[in-house]
Amino acid sequence: MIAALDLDQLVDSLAVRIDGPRAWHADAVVRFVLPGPDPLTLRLGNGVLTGVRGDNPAAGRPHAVLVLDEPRLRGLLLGAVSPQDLLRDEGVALDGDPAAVAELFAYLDSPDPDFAIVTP
Amino acid sequence: MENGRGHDASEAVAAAHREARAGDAFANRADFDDATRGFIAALEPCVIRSEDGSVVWDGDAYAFLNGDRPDTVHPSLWRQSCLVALQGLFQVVEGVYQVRGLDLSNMTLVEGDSGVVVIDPLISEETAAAALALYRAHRGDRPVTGVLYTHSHADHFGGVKGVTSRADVDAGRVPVLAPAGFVEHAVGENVYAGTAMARRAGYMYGAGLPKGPRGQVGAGLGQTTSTGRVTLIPPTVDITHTGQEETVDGVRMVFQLTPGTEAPAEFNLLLPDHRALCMAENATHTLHNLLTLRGALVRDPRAWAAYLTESIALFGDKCDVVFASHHWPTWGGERAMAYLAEQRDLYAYLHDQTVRLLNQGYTGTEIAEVLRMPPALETAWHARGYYGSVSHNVKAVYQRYMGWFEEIPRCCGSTRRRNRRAATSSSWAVRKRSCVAPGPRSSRATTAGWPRWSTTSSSPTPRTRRPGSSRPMPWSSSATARRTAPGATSTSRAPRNCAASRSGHRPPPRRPT
Repeated sequence: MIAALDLDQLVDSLAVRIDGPRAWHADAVVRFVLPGPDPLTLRLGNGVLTGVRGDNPAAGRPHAVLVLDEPRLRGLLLGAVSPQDLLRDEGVALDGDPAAVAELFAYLDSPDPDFAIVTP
Repeated sequence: MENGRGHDASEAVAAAHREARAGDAFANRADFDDATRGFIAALEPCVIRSEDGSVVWDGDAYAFLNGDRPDTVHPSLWRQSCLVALQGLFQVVEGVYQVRGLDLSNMTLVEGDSGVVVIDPLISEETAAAALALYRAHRGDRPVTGVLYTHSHADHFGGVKGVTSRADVDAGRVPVLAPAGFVEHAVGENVYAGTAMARRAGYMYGAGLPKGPRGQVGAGLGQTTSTGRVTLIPPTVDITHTGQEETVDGVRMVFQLTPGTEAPAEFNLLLPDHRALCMAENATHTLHNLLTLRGALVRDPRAWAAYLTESIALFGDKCDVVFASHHWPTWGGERAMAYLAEQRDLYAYLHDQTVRLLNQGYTGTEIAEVLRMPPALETAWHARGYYGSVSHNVKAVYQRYMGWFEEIPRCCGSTRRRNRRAATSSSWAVRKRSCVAPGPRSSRATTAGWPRWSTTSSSPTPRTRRPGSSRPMPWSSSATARRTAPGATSTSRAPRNCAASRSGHRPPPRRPT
């Protein structure tokens, strides 16, 4: 089912995993330039991960710009590849601060598929 | 105090309020600058009456806000009411005016080639007519050449017949623009459960409370709701998609459709020639509720936040001022966009964090107890809960995704009614008959002093008593006042017949000893 998610939905599903209080003071804006017309900009601020398509005022000024193809971006968003490994990939061009890319994914929390139910 | 009602603040309350006043947040007066900027004239006196002379809006009743804050009122709420109570005609930019403080909402007037286009004609015909008259007194006797309803809530269309007529609309002289689905939602949202919603709304707004430092001080979004005639003229032009452009009386408008945000049918609009952006009720100077206390369908904060991002994307470099149909405008392109981005973060954070925690097994109540907003949002005046709260909004998000059930199986059924019968129509009929069976007329006026039971067996106080006396409150309905008057007798047949018919499990109520 995850494979069927479009990029915006993938971003939304990451947004609900950000550990808000830990990320309160994080500030990272990263633009992913894809082969298509619309770049995707991810911004982490106020404990909120926001995705913006296109080059417009909502996208803001990025700390880092990554040029890559969509499969590599999906791999990153799905957690299949770490930001560090992605930056070492020859198919990825980085302009700007690599720490911003790492920061985007540094506050992810995981759901608990086995949480206690009925019992306290 | 005046009216002889209410109590002094206890020392604990007074101290808590003094403590809340500490810190430097109150030194930030930017909102007061914005709320008074462009002021042209106030309505004096600010009392609006209906045809029969009854008062439908009394802005002067809030004159007490000009005094010092009393111990009984929280300083943050006092501040908000001081801002919201400011009333009169204001210029937003050349050609765009707002009448604020004459109802719960604002009326915006955009001057066209031959007349004026009205955005959101308030709740009541009377207040809308008064707002238009105030505008005309200072800007000339321009005819209304168009009307916009930004969304399907009554405080944004109810006064339409105070600014135009059905005849003018039908004749095509005055187009009425509204988001697609407007009529369906305007009528639908409040009809099916309307009785219960209206009953609860009386408590949510406290509109019947006497106004004063120990009564009604404000409603956060506006001071209160007006009580005149609510009208509706169906729209003649549907706004069906984002990017749609319309020109009315020479006023160019670019729309952003935002269904499922603050209302099921809503739009924002840019006035490109004025470089002014109207955010309807999608960005106001409060944390807006996602689920009203009165009851409503839960709103979608994820969509809400996404549409706010879209507003910035579409219009961020095309406007120098952002205004809405509540509260005051925010001037300066960058400043306005920072404000919209914080509003977006507000709803997004509530949504994302509630979902994160519910996926870890926390219930809505538990999340509401622990969730704190990020410091940058907690200190922003426009992100505070004057018309909604973090706690209630968290529970609303939980309800939206998970429903009311918090994983306690025994809560699936009442522990009281062991011999429950299926509520078929015939069993209801039996119950109803037994309820109205002849019995001694109760001499009891109210349920005061009677025992009541918690609905959950885990309650530490499964059985309590209703307060021992019951006096009509100043805002009680006349029926309640009659029932609770000294010596009144209840007109209901003895309810113990109802109790008996319910398997006798619930003991018959006794009069207080």
